[in-house]
Amino acid sequence: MVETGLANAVVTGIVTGSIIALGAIGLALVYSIAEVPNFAHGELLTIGAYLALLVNQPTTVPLFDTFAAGPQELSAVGLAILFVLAGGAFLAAVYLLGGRSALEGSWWPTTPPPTVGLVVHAVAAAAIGGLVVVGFPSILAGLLLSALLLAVLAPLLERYVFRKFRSRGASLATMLIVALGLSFVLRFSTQAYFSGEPRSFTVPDVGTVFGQQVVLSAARWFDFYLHGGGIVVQILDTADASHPELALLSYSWPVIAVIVVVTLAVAALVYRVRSGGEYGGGSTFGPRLSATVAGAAAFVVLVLVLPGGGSVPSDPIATTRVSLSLVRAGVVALAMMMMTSLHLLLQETKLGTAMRAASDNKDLARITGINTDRVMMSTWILAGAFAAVGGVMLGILFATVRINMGFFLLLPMFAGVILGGLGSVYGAILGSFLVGVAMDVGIYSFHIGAVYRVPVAFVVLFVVLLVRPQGITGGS
Amino acid sequence: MALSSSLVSLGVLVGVFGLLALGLNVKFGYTGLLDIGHVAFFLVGAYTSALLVAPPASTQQFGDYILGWSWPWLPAIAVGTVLAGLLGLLVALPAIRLREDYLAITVLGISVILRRIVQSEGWLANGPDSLRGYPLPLRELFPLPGSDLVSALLFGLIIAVFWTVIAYAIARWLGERDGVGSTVVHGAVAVTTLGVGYVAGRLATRYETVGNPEPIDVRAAPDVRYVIAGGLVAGVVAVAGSVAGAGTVVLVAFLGLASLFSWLLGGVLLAAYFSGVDRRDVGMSVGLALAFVVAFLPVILVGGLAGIFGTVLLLAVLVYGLFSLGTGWEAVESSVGFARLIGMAAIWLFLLRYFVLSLVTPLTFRGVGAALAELIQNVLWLLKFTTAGVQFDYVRFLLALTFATVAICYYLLEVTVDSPFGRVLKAIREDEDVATSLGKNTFAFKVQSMVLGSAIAGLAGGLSAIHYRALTHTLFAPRVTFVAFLILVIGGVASNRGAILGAVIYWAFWKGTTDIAQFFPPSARSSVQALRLAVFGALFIVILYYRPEGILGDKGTQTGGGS
Repeated sequence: MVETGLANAVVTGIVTGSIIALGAIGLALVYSIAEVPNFAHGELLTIGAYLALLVNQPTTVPLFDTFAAGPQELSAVGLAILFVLAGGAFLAAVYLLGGRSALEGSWWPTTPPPTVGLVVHAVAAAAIGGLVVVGFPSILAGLLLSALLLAVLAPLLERYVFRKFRSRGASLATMLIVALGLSFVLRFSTQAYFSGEPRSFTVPDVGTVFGQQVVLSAARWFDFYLHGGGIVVQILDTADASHPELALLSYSWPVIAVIVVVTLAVAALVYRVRSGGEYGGGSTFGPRLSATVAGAAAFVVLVLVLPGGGSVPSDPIATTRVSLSLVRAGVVALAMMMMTSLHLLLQETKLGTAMRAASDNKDLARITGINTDRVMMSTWILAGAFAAVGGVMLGILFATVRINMGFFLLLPMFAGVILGGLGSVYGAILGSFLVGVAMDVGIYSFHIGAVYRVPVAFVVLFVVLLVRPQGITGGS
Repeated sequence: MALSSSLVSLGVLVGVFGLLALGLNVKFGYTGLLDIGHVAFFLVGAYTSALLVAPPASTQQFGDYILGWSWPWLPAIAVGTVLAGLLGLLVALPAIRLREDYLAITVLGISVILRRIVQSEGWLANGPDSLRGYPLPLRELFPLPGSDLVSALLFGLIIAVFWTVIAYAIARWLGERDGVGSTVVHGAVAVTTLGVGYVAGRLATRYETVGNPEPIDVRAAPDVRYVIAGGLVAGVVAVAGSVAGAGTVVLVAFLGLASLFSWLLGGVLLAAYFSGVDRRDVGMSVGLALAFVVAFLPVILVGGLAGIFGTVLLLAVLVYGLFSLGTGWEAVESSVGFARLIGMAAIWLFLLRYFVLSLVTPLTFRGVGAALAELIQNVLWLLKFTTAGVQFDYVRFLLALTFATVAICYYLLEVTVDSPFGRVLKAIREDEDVATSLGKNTFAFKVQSMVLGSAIAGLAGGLSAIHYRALTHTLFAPRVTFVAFLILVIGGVASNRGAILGAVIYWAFWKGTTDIAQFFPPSARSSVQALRLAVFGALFIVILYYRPEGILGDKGTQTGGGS
């Protein structure tokens, strides 16, 4: 009998961790650049999830449901509203970046003539609006709309609340309390408008992957059998009650040895190449990142190519099962994609460099000519967008959209940020994954109920604060 | 149920949350510790007291819990308080050294964990179900008047305490030299205190000559001997009357008159506080109160979506008007500050609601007689009028108990704050490095402040266990700490009076919005209730921005401290 074990807890933790990371990224950015311990960040996730309902479940949205002709159907007026909301939010976000001149393209790498800027922005807005309308009622279109709307809401919070307090020289504690009050306002306004009943997203059950119809939410069981000759992996499908076998991969010890050696060799080689020699220290794909990516790629290739056939061993030394569904894998994949784009933004673009500089030392950054106001705004825009994605992912993962779903993640997000080290977005990402894994491994190892996940995250945080308050990356 | 009874019940909540805010005030207002897990100590105090007082779990059918030793209430609450203080110590020792925002998150986490444990461990305190079935203190003796000696003695004790407070109040706040001289007022006071209270109060009034070189007479602390003597005399009379069989008469006489006295005292105090306000401002405040009531007429009279819309529109206009009035207040050249004007308007609103609007429903549905009965019940609020006669019921006793506890704690805290200990705490809040450089062990002081504040929260928890009658984990959500912060910031940080005032404002607002929610259609009602918390959060931010010291705080004390 194969049971889920530690490995499964780790995988589940990685899934949780990616959602925490999406929130923690925004939290870390805002913490270090805007110097706001944003206790309202959890509510941003909640609002993100609720906004996606406009597209995905329009009948459950008060006032808007008058435009819904049926579940997941919208009248032309409703679609028009969505179009305007999406395009308008895009334009509003650009406007918040830097006023009218931003709409004329002042934030582009090369400043175009004003009319060109305006036209391009208008066209882009229309395109985005069109995307949302065409994608209706898919949850992904909801995600896009939600990200756009939150990308406007978050900077508005900064401009009308936090900036005012900051200009008065408010202390960190005051900002925290302000954020606390704001979380009240956000959460209960949302509850007042949407009412407290839980809802859930409509995620398509069946999708096409590589040309095949697959059930998205059904888990795949990856059963690992360790036996005398090596490791056998059996992949079972739970969509069908008889659990038919999808694949059987058998790795003998020599094969495993080859995989390990080649992976390490590839990683080491890439590390060597990227950190020295003709390439010097390339910053975006630095040596460690390149080595990790190359090693992982090599691992995947070898694992897919090398196994032989075989049968399930009858007398294994040890077994474990990892349960993973496409939806959850998709959550991790999307989170990874967003983090990669953030990485590219931070490393490759001028804005990203400005953000890193401002996070390090805002006054110095201002002296060197960086427009810290614009950096501040883009920080909040990013924070809002990431929070929206996180919120929608959370809603998909837990299959409900509730008022307190964001607050539930607030402590783990803070834990991730602090564990990774304040002032470092990468630290926050790493910290979030660690916290996520700790949460699930914790409740598995101590055999306590799943309701104790957040307390476990908190205990991790507490230990970190006692032992190494500056976190992993050490910046404080 | 008359409005007075629901307000009495609300008063107990005001007391409990006032205590909670007082505890937070020690930690946050005076020491600058950002404890957003304050509710954890509230929880510990409440559950400990309830679990100790409850009968053994085996005797109950509904569930399971630990302890259940059937203790009396006083030691149970004492243990709860001590335990809460101990938890504060445990939390403080590792966490105080952290940065202020780290400390905040740490204690928040602890409160979340404690609540989770209570929620999921069914064996501890009956799981997600409520912990109920524990006896309430002295419940069996109520409602008074009772027929046996014990209840007569209890009645006498209560009267004695009331008359002690009355005499104290007279000595403290009523006197010719303060300009409250009219014989009418004094005569009314004498009547409503049955002569005894008045005499005792006047005997206890003392004046001291201070000042050099220009000596003046200032009011000194009342002479406690006379105050207590007055209370004792009244108590003895009450017992005698009760034993002699005239229980109800004595009850009505004493408590009815005491109710009247309370209105009198309130009037005198308000007149003194708002003295020097000219007619125009009084008119403005009345106008504001009336405008507020008028704003709700659409939803009351018209109803439906149009009514809601009308009300929301009028409210928006009102808020905008208030806002522009507030920011441009100097141009109005009034004799009072804007906050005071709002205070006056609020008091007018209360009087309007309590004495006038409460009569509307009985008048329209049951006639003049019912309206008159309602008015009498509201005026003589210490008495409960039931079909079985006139009584002093348990809720009113709880109110007295809570009031006494809050008064004692308030007094102790005021003494603490003015002591050297309190001054060090304030120094730590303003600039910890300076305090350290003066040789103070700031760590020890912070820990002590944490322990004290947490113990007070535990005491509040014990009281809340009595009031709620059944404890559920939802009562101790992190939201409660936020409410305590709201109360403090609005009422006045680092001001104990502000903590009480904040609690009054919060629950008045709560009650007001519950009232108003009744006029909305049921589907919108829960939204209104959620909206009130959003409004409170917004109010919190506004006050934090425009008046960070709160209503009663000093301008020098800002929320959040210096560094």
